[in-house]
This record gives sequence, C-alpha cells and structure tokens, in this order.
Amino acid sequence: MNTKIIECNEVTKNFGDKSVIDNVSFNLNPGEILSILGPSGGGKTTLLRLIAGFEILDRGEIYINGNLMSSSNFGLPPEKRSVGMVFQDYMLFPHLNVEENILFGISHLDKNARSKRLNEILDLLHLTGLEHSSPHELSGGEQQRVALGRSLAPRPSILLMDEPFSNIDANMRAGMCNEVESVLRENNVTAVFVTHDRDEAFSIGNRIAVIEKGRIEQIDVPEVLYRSPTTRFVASITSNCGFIRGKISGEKVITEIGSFNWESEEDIMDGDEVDLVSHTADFVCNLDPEGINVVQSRDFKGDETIISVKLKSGTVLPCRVNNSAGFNPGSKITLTRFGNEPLFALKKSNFRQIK
Amino acid sequence: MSNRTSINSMPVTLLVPAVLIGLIVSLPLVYLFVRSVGVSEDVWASIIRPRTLQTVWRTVQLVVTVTLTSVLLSLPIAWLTVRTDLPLRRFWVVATALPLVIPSYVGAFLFISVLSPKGLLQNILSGPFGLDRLPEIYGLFGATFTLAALSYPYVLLTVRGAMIGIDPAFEESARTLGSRRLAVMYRVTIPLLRPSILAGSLLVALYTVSDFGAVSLLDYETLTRSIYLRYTAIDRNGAALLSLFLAGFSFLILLAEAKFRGRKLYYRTGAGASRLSNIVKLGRWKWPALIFCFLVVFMALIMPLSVLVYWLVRGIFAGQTFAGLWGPVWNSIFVSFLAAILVAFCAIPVAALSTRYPGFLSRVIEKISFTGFALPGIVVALAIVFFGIGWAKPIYQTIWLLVFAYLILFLPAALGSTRTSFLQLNPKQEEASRGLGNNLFQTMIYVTIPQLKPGVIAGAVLVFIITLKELPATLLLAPLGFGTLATKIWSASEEAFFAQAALPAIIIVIISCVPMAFLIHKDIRTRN
Repeated sequence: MNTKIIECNEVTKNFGDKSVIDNVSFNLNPGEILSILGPSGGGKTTLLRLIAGFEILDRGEIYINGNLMSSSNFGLPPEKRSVGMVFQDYMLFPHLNVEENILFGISHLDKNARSKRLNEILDLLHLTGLEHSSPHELSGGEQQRVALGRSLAPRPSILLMDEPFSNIDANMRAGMCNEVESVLRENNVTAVFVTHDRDEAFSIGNRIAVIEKGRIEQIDVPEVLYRSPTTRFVASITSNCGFIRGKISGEKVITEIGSFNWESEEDIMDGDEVDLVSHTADFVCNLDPEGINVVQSRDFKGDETIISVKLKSGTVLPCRVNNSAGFNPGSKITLTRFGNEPLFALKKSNFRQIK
Repeated sequence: MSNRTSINSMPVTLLVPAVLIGLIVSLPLVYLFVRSVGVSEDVWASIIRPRTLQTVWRTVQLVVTVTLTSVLLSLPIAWLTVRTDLPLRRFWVVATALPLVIPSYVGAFLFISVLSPKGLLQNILSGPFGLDRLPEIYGLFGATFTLAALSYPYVLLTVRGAMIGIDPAFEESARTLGSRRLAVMYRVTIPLLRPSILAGSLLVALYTVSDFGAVSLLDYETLTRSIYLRYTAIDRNGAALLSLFLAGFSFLILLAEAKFRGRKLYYRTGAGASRLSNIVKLGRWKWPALIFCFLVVFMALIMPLSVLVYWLVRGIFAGQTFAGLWGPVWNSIFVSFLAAILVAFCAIPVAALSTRYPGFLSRVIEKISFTGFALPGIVVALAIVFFGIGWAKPIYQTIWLLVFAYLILFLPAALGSTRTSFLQLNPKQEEASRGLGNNLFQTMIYVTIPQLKPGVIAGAVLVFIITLKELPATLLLAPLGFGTLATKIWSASEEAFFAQAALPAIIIVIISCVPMAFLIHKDIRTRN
C-alpha cells in the first residue's frame, strides 16, 4: 500500500554558493505522473538530474522503490538506478539505427527476450517499418517516439522527461503530448515530466509541482492549482490571470469594481488587504460609453478574444470576450461578475509560502 | 545590385580569380597525365617490376603503423586534457601540440644521432655497460617512431575539438540505459568521435605518404624516395610515372577515408557546448596519467630540442663556425612570408565562391583546390619543374616558381580557416548593413572584412609555419644558390654533420613556435 516509487526528502543542491534546489520534498505513487512546471533557470532540470544520479546532492535523500539512491554522502551511479530519461533534444545515438537505439539498454538480455521487447516497443510507439532508419532520417515526432521507446525498453522504475516537446512544432505539440500521455498511462509508467508550458503540464500530469528558484511553491492536482493557488507566482504560471486589490468586509470583499464573495486557504481577518485572482472568464465585458474601464489591447485568437482591461486604479485584467466586435483599444466598458462563485483571495504580503 | 545570395548572380570579380586559381592548382596533375601518356615502353617496364611493388608495400606498412600509433597516442591525451582534472591541463594542451613545428627530417636526424650505432646513447652505454650493439633503428621502426611522434598532433587536435563538442547528454543517455562509464566510452564516445579520428588519421596518412625527408634519412625506401632517386638519376619520365602512382595512392587514401566515414552520420556538435561535461576526477590515477603525458612530450618535444641544443653546444666547443647562416634565415623568412600572403589571398575568392554560391562550378573549383592536400610535395615539385622547363622558362630558377609550388601545396591549409570564417559570417549581416544605408564598399569595410580577418590571418600563419619547414619542393625548385634553413639542414644531416644541422633546426623551431602558440591559443580561446 505504502510503496512509493520515488521519495525525495528535503533535497538540497548548491552550485558554489548559489542554491539551485532548496529543501524539495515530494513522492510519487506507482503509475503517477508528476509535471514539474516552472520558468527556465528555476532548477527543474537540476532536480531531474539529481534523481537520475548525474548530480550529487548536498542534503536530503532520494529513494526509488524504497532503496536509497542519494544522500549527502552517497550516490548510486545512474546506470544502477533503473531510471529512464528522455532528453530535450532526444539524444538518439547518431551512429546507431532505430532498432539499435531501442536495444541499447537491453543488450544484456538474451536474443529472444531482446527481439520480443523490441517488437513490443515498435508496436507501442508505432515505429514498425522504421527499424533500420538512421535518426537523422526521422521527423521530430518520430525521433521523439524512438527516444521514448529507447527509455522504456529496459522497463525503468521511473521515467524522467526533460522538456521533451520543446523541439516539436507548436501545432504538433498538443497531439504529441496526448499520445505520450496515453502510452504512459496504458503502461502504468511512473514519470516525472519537466516543462515550462502550462498546457503540457496540465495535460500530462496527475499532479503538478510549481517550482521556482529551487523551491516547490505548490504541489497538487491541476484543478486545485488553478482554483486555489497559494501564491501570486503559482496563480500567474498556471493561468492567464490578473489580480484585483480588495479589502475584506465580512462575507464580501470590496474592490473598485464591486464587492464579491471570496474564499481563501489562509487566515484572513476583517479589514485585511487582499489580492483576488481573476481568471479571464470571471467577468463579463459590456461596451459602455459611460464606463470607467478602458480596453488597452486585444489579442484575437480565433475561438475567443482576450482583451486587457485597464481599471481606474491602473490595474490590468485579462478578460475573455466571445465576439470581439467593437472591443478596440480605447473603448470604454463595464465589467460584471459572471456567476457568484467566490473569488480566490491571497494575502497581500504573501509571495512565498509553502503549503 | 545586392542580390548576392542568389546563385545566378555569381559576380565576375569573384569568378575570374577563382577559376584562374583552380586552373593553376590543377596544373601538376594535368601535366603528369600528359607526360605519362607519352612515355615509352621501356619506361613502363622499368616501373612495373617487383621492386616497385615492394616500395608500395613498404609505403603501405608505414602509413598503417604511423596512423595507428598516432591514434593510440592521441585518444588518451585528448580525453585526459578535455574530460579530467589532470594537473596543468593548459600546459599539456600546448605542449602536446607543439611537436608539429619540428620538421620530419630534423626529427629523423636527431633520432639517428641519438640511437644509431655511433650515436649518443651508444656512447653513453658502451662505457659502463660494455654494450656495443643497439637494436636496428633504420627502417620501418625508426620511420614509424619519428613520423608518429611528429604527426600525432594532427589527430589530437581534431579529436580534442570533437570531444569538446560532444553533447554530454549522449553519454548521460547511455548511463541511464544501464551502461557503465567504460562501456559508454566504447559504445558511445568513440563511435561519436569516429569522424574526427578518421579526419585526423587522414591528415597523418597523407603526411606519411608525402614525407620525404625522414624516410630518406632513415633509409626506408618509400615511393617519395624512389621518385627522388629517379629524378636525381635523370630518369625524368620514370619519375613522372612514379609520381602519378603516388598521386593515385593518395587518392586511394582519400577514398578510403570517405568510405569509412560513411554518409549516414550526422553529428550535432556545435550546440553541445551549451553545458560542459562533468570532469572526471582522476584520484590516484593522476600519476600514471601525468607520466604518460610527460613521456609523450618528452619523446616528441623535449628530447629532440635538448639533443639539438646538445649538438649545437658541442659544435661550438669543438670550434665549429656557423658562417653563412644569415642568408638562409633571411631567405626562409622571406619566401615563407611571401607564400603566406599569396596563399591567404588566393584562398579568399575560392572560399567565397564555395560558401556563398554553391553550384556545379564552385564545387569543381573547391575540389580541385584540395589537390595540394592529396599530392605529395615531391610530386607537385616535379610537375612544376617539368612545367617550368617546358613552358615557363622566364620564371624557372626564380623564387616565383617556388612560391607557385607552395601555392598549390598549401592552398588547402589556408582554405580551412577562411571557409570557416565565411560560413560563420551570415550574409544577412551584409544585407542588414545595406539596409541601414551603407553601400557595398562601406559594407565590406565595416562588416565583411573585420569578420573575415581572423580566419584569413590564421590561414596565413599556418601557411607560414608549414612553408618554413617544407623540404622536397624547396629542394627541387629553389634557384641555384638560394639556400633556405630547410635545405641547409638537409645537406648537413645527409652528411651527418649534426652540429651544422642543429643551429638552422633550432632557428626553424624558434621561428615557428611563436605563430604556433598563437594558433593553439586562439583555438583554446574559441573553444573554451
């Protein structure tokens, strides 16, 4: 019941006197996929490399299947950890063809087992027919699948993926992402997936860890991160949102554009100053020559249009409009709350607090 | 008109010089063909006999042993200086590359002077130990030792460059797939290095095929020496025919390299430098590593230089005079300088054409311009001699014909870095400059030339170094009475006047060390 595939306890890593991973703890159940979401330079890749065994940690422990992998005075070499890794640029061996790449990690098996596993992998990733191609003859998507197949062939306990879709054309990415997700789910693979793209993080991960400056800001299921971010950073990286200043007054929170229901995970008292997280669908925009809010810019996206609305105080909110006609920069509008679900409130002082 | 990237608009100002240079460079090969077609039956008969076959076999053996030795020396040194915490890494990088400045004939005469039956080692050992016979050093062993010690840096430099460029994630992938460090080395690293190992081996193999000085002094008869012997015996048709043989041999080596390299290998190397590989801690292996590097540098650099100094000092104490050296020093520097400037300038239009205007014609010109790379110096020199006597009497026996030969031989050396500069210079930059209101001339002055300069200068410096030590062409083509340092060393060491050979040799080494250090330093700076 309680077997965790991976367990990280207070993992800390410094490069010189710069802290890259700061007191990171999390664990994964079998078959679970964790997305690590954060800006570049936030320590995501370092965390993966610590798990894979390429970096030595300064403090904490990492366990895989209950076995100690790393501690401050111990580090099992990468080849003994049973981790698979898919790299950003796939890193297919250019001197080997597709088949040889896939077989690379299972060369110790006997011939029958090898060819059985090879066929399973080719089948799983729709690579049949490409066995004898060289990596450079493949498209980006095919290289991606070979890289995934190569890592899965030895049946690793855990699969690590370092921004595997960053070199795929933007319009192919979503499809690729779904395909990989279903392969991992169907095979019950436990995985850690690193990305800076929230759409990828949401569509692949059961849970998401938002990481910044080497710390986990919040780790939870996607819906919770979206609805109840614990910090402004988490809110901005998991959604396209704005923040409205307000003051708590009993059941309501009073803002420059009206008073609304609110909720929070923090201890908030009457009279506290808060920031309300406003998603693009939270307000309805109406053109109104008398309105005090001004359209600053608009971003036409086909299915929807996101306009940036400047409030009187100068605060800018992104809002969605279905029909963009008339919403031109400079247009005056009024904002009405859509529905009356509570808005999520963050204490003004709260920039970094781990749940 | 600024339609410069289009293939159709190949400017005449570029095309004419490039075609002209292509014609000049193809001259030796064409001439040898023409000449060989007309030779009589008995010349053919004098070539086609077992003796020639033996010479070819000896050449093959030497090429194989020298190339293999060079690779075996270079791989560990490259790995130690790129991937480990070897103490004094910077020093070893420079010291292991420096043997390139020692000409092979100098290496050979030093080798003989130390190890021959009447050499230094014999003198030292015969006293206390009563040893009066050393193993035979003439022949294959001596030639392999000398040539490998002086040419292994060609492999080392290319392999080092490639090793720095390998993306460490390739090796990390292999680790996560369950390979131990040592297995990663032979399953991934060495295969990834294969193109650079082959490229370096190609340089060493061609260097060995075309070497004339060392094999002659060490009495190991290869094709180059046979050609020289026939030429001096005034069997000119035979020499021409054998030269064609030798040229064919070099082309076979080129073909073999191209075949082994294969076409399916595409390497990402440039982008790999984004993250440095983890440095391997040597621990107690530090000492064997240091001893290995020291032994290589000792044999290839320190020992030759100290023996040179020894002979010089001994000569001075024996009251020998070194009169008449100023002339050769001046001649060497002058002619090398001339060659460097000329070759560097000639490389520009060829490089521009081949990088900016890809097409059939530019491909042909580019291939032809690599002739000198495949043709041994003695072959080019002979062709130029025949050409001079037959068609260019006015410049025969002048230094212009000599410089002409240098151009053919060393154009490929200058082309390398010049081409790289052109490739790094994005033509869009020139377009951007035009878009900002500069005319073609201003664009050249402010944008193009400043960026090409380093590559062109590097090419010129390299040509200077190799011209300074070039022997066979200089020997055959220098005007009467025009002695250079190389010919001076050659004549002195042929007669075993080691002290007389030592001073000019030291001068060559000193003069080349400065530009060589400049090149290595530049290399390190751009890579690290």
